[in-house]
Amino acid sequence: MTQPITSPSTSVAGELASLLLEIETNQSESSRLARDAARENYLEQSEQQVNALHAAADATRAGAFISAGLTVASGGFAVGAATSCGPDARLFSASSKTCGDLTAPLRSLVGESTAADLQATAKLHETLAEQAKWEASDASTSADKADRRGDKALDLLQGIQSDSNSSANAIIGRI
Amino acid sequence: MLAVASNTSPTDRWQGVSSANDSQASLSGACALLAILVQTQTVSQAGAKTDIELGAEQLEEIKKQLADAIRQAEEAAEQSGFFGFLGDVFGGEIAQIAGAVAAVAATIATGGAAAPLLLMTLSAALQAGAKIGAELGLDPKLCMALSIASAAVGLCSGVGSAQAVGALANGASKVAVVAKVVQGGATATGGVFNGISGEYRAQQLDEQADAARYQAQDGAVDLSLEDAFALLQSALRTQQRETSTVSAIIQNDSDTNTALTSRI
Repeated sequence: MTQPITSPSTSVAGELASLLLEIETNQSESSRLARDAARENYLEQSEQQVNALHAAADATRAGAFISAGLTVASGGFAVGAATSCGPDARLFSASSKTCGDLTAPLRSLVGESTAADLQATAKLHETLAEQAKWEASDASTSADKADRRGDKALDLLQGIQSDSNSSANAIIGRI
Repeated sequence: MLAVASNTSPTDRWQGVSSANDSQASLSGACALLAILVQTQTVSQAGAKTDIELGAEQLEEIKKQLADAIRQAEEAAEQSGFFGFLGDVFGGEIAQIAGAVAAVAATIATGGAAAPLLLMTLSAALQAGAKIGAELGLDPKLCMALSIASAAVGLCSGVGSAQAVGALANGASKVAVVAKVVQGGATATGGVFNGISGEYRAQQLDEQADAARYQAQDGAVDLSLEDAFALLQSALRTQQRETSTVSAIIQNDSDTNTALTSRI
């Protein structure tokens, strides 16, 4: 007939070690979930940063094209004003002046201001992405620490088991 | 759970042998378990190593793409600066000079009796410019041209008869028209160059955005590599632990067998 040889104290210690191991396993799993979430957030923020930078580039391009178009029109009207006379010359001259005056404000409105705004947005997403990266790194560190604590709990459990085995062998020797 | 014979009498030797056989069976089971565990961890390690190798290759590729993007952004910035400079020259300096010439010519054309005085002033200004330019180290040919222009303008002002003034006004009017055309053309050309510069500036921003994307990918691959290294480390640690645990089980079985054998 065989029966398990365990002492109450060993059992309690074993249960405690098992509980610690379970807690650390849960902690590790939780940290890994947090790390995955932070990594997703990092990728999402980085993507938004890149999109904002591309939008800023598009705004700069649009501003440059509008500015160039108005400047060319202004120059063309100036040539027309120089080569014509009478009401046409005045009309061309006024058109040239209007186009020239509109160039800078429209370039600023469509291009520079919008691009600066979008670049600020990109900077915000860059900061958030960096923050998410730190959070992911912290979560990884936390998971590693939980793993190490779990290892220690496992060591403790193995030590308890080893002690139990030694005790059992000693008892067998005494039978 | 450790299980041992707790009531083994010297007469019940066959039961002891049976227990030894059970221990032998558990020993084989432990070895089989160890083999399975080691195999699992080996697969895990191989997967982690593959991930690390793939991650390293991805990092290499991303770094190349990042370097390309940065180089193209620098090239676009250079082109943007060059065309911006041309735009400033045409839309700024040349247009302003042409505008000034047109204004002077228009003034001369409409100045009437004041034309000779304006010409004298212009002659004096050109003369002074030539002199100061020579002192400042300006190109001697340019200084000579300024002096000749000064003399010519002075000559015109000196011989300012009514007929000459009329011809001068007529010529100045044509010069004013040409100067205005040049001014308008320079402005338009400057606008075109500034537009090209803006396009290159936009390309530069696009490349910078791509560089930011590659940096983000680089960061993501770094995180994946960290994971793979952690997984490899964990697999190695687990394998070592499992080996030591199974060794302890086998050692314990051996000790138990030894104790039982000595008691039989």
